[in-house]
Amino acid sequence: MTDRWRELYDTEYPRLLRALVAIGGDQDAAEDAAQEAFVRAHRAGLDSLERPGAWLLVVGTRELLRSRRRRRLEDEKWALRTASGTAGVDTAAERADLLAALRQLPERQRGVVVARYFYGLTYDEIARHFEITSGTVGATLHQATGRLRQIQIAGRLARGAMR
Amino acid sequence: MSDERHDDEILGRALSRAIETQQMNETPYERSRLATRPARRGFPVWQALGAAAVLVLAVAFGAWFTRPRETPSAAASSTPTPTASSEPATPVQTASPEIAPAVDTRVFFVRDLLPPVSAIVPAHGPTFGRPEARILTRIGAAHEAAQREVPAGATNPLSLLGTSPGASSSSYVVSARVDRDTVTIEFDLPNGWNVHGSAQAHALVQQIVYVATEEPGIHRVRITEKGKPNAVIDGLVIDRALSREDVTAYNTLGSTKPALGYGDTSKAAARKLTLRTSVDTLAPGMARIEIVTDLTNVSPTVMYPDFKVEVFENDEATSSVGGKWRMVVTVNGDDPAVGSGRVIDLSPLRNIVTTTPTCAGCSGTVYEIGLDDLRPWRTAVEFDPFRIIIDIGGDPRTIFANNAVYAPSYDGTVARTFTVAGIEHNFEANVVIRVKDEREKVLLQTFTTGTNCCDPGGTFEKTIDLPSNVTGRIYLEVYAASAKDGSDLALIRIPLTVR
Repeated sequence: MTDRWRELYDTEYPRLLRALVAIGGDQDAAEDAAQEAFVRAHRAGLDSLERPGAWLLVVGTRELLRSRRRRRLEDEKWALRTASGTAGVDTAAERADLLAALRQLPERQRGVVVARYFYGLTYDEIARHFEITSGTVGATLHQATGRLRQIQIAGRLARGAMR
Repeated sequence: MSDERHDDEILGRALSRAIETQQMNETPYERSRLATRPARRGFPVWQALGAAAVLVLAVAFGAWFTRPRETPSAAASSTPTPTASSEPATPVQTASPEIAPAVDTRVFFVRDLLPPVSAIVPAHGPTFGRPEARILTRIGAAHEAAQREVPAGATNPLSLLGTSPGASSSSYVVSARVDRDTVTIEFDLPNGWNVHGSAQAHALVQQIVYVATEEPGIHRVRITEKGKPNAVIDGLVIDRALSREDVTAYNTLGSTKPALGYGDTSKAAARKLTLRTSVDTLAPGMARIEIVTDLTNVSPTVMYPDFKVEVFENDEATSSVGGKWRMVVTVNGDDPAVGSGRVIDLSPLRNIVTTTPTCAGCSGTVYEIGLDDLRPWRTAVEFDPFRIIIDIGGDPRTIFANNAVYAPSYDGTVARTFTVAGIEHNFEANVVIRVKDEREKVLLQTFTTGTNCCDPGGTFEKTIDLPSNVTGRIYLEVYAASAKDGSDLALIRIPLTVR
């Protein structure tokens, strides 16, 4: 039994942690949420999870956003760190821009974007796990990618102007 | 697919890559809440109270006993950091190493003759701020690492630092100063290095160099003793700054080529590529990267897809991969995993990011591989389906230039029937195998042919049947016969015992 949990942890934890850091921006909070998600998965029982990776993402995201609301100050601190850390060569800067842009999206959109593009879930799978309709998934992704693109372009222009 | 949808997919891939390549301090399963959760729910109050009482006592006692092993603090670089004292400690001052919040950090442990292996351990100093502070934190973390955190087959010479037989503490003082890509670490050791013999001395130096150079941008380490320009560790004089490559047993082999290109500039392209990795499976200290194509109708005499392998020093501040070196493998083919990354974290492999070439009009797949260090590496190809193999490192005693023997292992025990396997880059792919007894009498000589000759090389495998009267010590010799005069080239000699 332990081996199954270890296997699940080794497979899903690195991906979940990165997803939650991308969504929330704070590694400590992401770590906390990821660990909590696994503990909750254990309480629920492995056999009851239809798709454990997606389940962990949804539970971890909810936990992360709940704790974030309690710690708004942490957000501000992260925003300052991110802003000061994005100078550098374009590839790294663009990646940092994208992550920063992701964090400017409304909270629900972040989870859906990560589920779609990082986890590769289908619209139906996202709809089922996030308890929204498939149409809402499409609309959310459309709005989110449009916004991401705007923020990304603004970042590039800003970097260009600073050279 | 509409343009907008296509753009969204590209953006999504870029975002996925940005998420994947975030550098994380990951919590291993053993320290996860899942692994350390209480066995039962409904923890009774009396048990909780009892546990709390035990914890308080443990902290008080632990604090008193553990003070001498306090981690070097992260004071400014120029400030020597006292780490221990033989004076009795007060609990307030001493509890920090065991109960202070820990963050995970990467350190290295050493293996006999092989390159060090990395592991994530808890650190109690700062992991941000000045590089000197982070370097001292890592050294402290390795020094304090529990035995269970040391990977199997590895040792932790830093844990002995400053101890001496009969001494009740592991006191040492250490400070660090960074100048460009070099850090000078000064030790003040009231109890001496506690190192005996050149093997232990080399192991300690190797570990210090690997741990300290984990700091991004730091490539060399100068080790000194207080008041002296150099350090002398049980007779081993350290009088210059050392890189990771200076302290491995590979440093005389000279086969860490900076760049290598293969292929026939043909139009042959693989429709589907799959990358596989293994570490320490085929040979100790070796990582194998295998790129499998969907091409089954190629052979050494028929065109196969171009591929190129290059190695660069890694700029950790801007690179998408971790580690000191970055191997870039470009293959004429498509990998569906383009835009994604994966974390390996088994020395020497850090992570692999799959992308496409950035040059205008270029096609194919680019694998960027983060490496802890630059070990000798070699390539080979296999067929049906066509596969590209890149082997990084291995047992230094069984490598000669681009040739290596992976089985049997050095100084191993074999039956009378055993398999010899490895990689060759020989003329016409010929591999000569010879077995001698202790008196250098030839017991057997045979040959085999690898899957491909010269560059990019091939793999070989041959079953050896020794005569029935052979027992005890033998020497296996694997080499290429010179096309000019038949003399031995690239000879690899492996002592074995026949059971």
